[in-house]
Amino acid sequence: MELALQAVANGLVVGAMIGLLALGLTMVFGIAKFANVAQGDLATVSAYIALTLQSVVGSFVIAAGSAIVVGTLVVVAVYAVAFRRLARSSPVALLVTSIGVALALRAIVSLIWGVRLQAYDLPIARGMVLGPIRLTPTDFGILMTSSVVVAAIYLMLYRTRSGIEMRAVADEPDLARVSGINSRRVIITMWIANGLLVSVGGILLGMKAALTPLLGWNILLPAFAATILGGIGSPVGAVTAGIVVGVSTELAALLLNPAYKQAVAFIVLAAVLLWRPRGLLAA
Amino acid sequence: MNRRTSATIAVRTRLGVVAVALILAACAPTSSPAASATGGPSESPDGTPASTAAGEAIIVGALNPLTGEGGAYGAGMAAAIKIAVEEVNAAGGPLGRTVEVVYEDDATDPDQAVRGAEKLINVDGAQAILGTWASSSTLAVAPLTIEAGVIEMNTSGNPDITTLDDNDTVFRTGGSDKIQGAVIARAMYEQGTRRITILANQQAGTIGAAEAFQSTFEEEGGEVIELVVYADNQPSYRTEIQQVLATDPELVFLAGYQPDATIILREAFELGADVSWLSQLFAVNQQVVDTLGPEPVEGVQTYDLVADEEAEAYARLKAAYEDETGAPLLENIYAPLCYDQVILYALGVEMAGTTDGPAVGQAILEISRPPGEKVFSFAEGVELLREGMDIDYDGASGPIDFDDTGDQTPVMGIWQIVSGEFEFQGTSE
Repeated sequence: MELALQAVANGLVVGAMIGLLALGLTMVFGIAKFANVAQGDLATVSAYIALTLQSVVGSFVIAAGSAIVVGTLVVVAVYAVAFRRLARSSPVALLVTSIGVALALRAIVSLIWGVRLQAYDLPIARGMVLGPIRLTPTDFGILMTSSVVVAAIYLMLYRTRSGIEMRAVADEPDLARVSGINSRRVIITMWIANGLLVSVGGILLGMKAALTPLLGWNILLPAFAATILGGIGSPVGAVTAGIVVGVSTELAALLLNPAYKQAVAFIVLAAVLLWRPRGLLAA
Repeated sequence: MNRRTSATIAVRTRLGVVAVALILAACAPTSSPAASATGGPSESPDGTPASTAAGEAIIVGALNPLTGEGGAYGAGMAAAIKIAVEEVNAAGGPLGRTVEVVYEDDATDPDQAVRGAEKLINVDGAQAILGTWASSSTLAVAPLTIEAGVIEMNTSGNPDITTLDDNDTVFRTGGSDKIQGAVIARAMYEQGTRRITILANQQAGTIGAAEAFQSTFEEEGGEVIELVVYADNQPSYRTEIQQVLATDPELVFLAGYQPDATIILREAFELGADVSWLSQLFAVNQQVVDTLGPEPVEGVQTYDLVADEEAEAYARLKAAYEDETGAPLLENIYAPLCYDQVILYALGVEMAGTTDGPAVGQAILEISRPPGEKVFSFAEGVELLREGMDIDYDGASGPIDFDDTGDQTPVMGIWQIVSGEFEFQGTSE
């Protein structure tokens, strides 16, 4: 029982990071209408930017904060260079482009920072005991930060004018355009929001694991699973599904040979889609 | 847009996403060493039959990892090959012929290794390819050398190399991951450890080591409480670690690679785990200590191949090697392994009376192991062979007694990390 509770806690932490990437993926789906394979590698770039900034400024908090800004700019730049011109192309063209972007980013990261393992200079501490559960300060940081970011994105989507415009473009692009919504501005806002999500996700991932050029790529598959599970285009669904994927894989590790735990996420995915073909919380 | 079309679009998008997932799964990087082995037969080596004319030089290819992941070792391996060849030639060479080396860099890349091997065999006319380091390179090159009837000697670890259908032409100085796992299990039992849990990465090499460790440890009379296998490339392994800790072992054998081992040792420390760890040196090395700091790795034991520093051949190589490279021989276990490859190959040619691969291979098997008069250099060996005696070469890296598959049981060294430093504990013997 204690093991199970702890597994749920571990799953929450991993699920929070999956949820951040999945939320970004679902927004790109909703507005730009394609599966962004580069999502994981964009996260990796921000994680490494934070590493370099920390070696310059020393403080991790300042480095991470600045890396989120720089990382978001990188994401917008990638949009401007790679995706903007293909806006009217088929989703397949955009998908293939994003695979190319992913490979290019990974090569650039390896070139600049090397392939050897690196880590942020953070104190390593024994975890805090909360009843039967033990959580580290990093875990708390991950849970708090991701909650704040998700809440901010939620408020933006549902309480601001650009959020309403964004959802309008996602639902009925033609109707939105004839209603006078500037779809270009909506798309840029979406990429900024996605940039924030991947940057925060990448840095949290770097804190939890250690930095390698495959950091973000390794979590991309569960993030795609969460996007589908939550119902494509559903922000709340993506975050919820991220946590479902995280917790179910950790619990599965207890019941099954842990080598198969990632497969369990996809069994859950298949089961839910049989029951609700459009996902948990389809838009 | 009506409801039906938007639903169709949603379904299409979902199919697209599933397709993406499949593409991702398909192009996810794997560390399967055989993945890039081309396996195809090389072009027929037109008109380059093994010449046995006396006086003509025997060409040997040194295919070392001068760059890439093995770059730290490759130059030293090439230097050791050069030193050994000089010794062989100074003693008159096998069959009275001189040995010439052609050097190629495999860049720790199987594709590059295949190009290098093709050039060495077909252009330079090499009769042996020595010193492949990465298992992926060895597995990629072996089909070419086997097809060409050329000797291949390597320092790789992958167990698949053992079972190659090679007409006794592929040899590994060093040891397979499986044999290493068995040797270290015996050493742990002799240390007094009785209850062990194994935490193993699901990759072929690490699982092989874990299973060999388990069966040997149980044969010795110890208990392997549980073998927990994990999928790698995860951001966290905490649930797996907790499963391991729940078994309350005296020692955890962590059979993993550097990225996962780093995360596991950190998370175990954060969880307040109070247990001893054992791991391979390639997984828990100085970089891991630098990344984590001394505290989470305090007391961790690591093991790796180690040369027998007492051996006569080692002392001789050490002097020449440090003179040649300016680096301590102790830092490069693969250098003595390559040195021994040259001596064994040269003695094998002498005994076989030809450079024909399978015949030389048979001779190498016999020369490496008892029975026979022990010899410690090419000069001693060649003299006794010419008198018609059996010999058993003991090299710079250890006794090297090949079994019929071309594997041998290496000597392993054990280190313990104390205050961030690797302290040598002793050898497996």
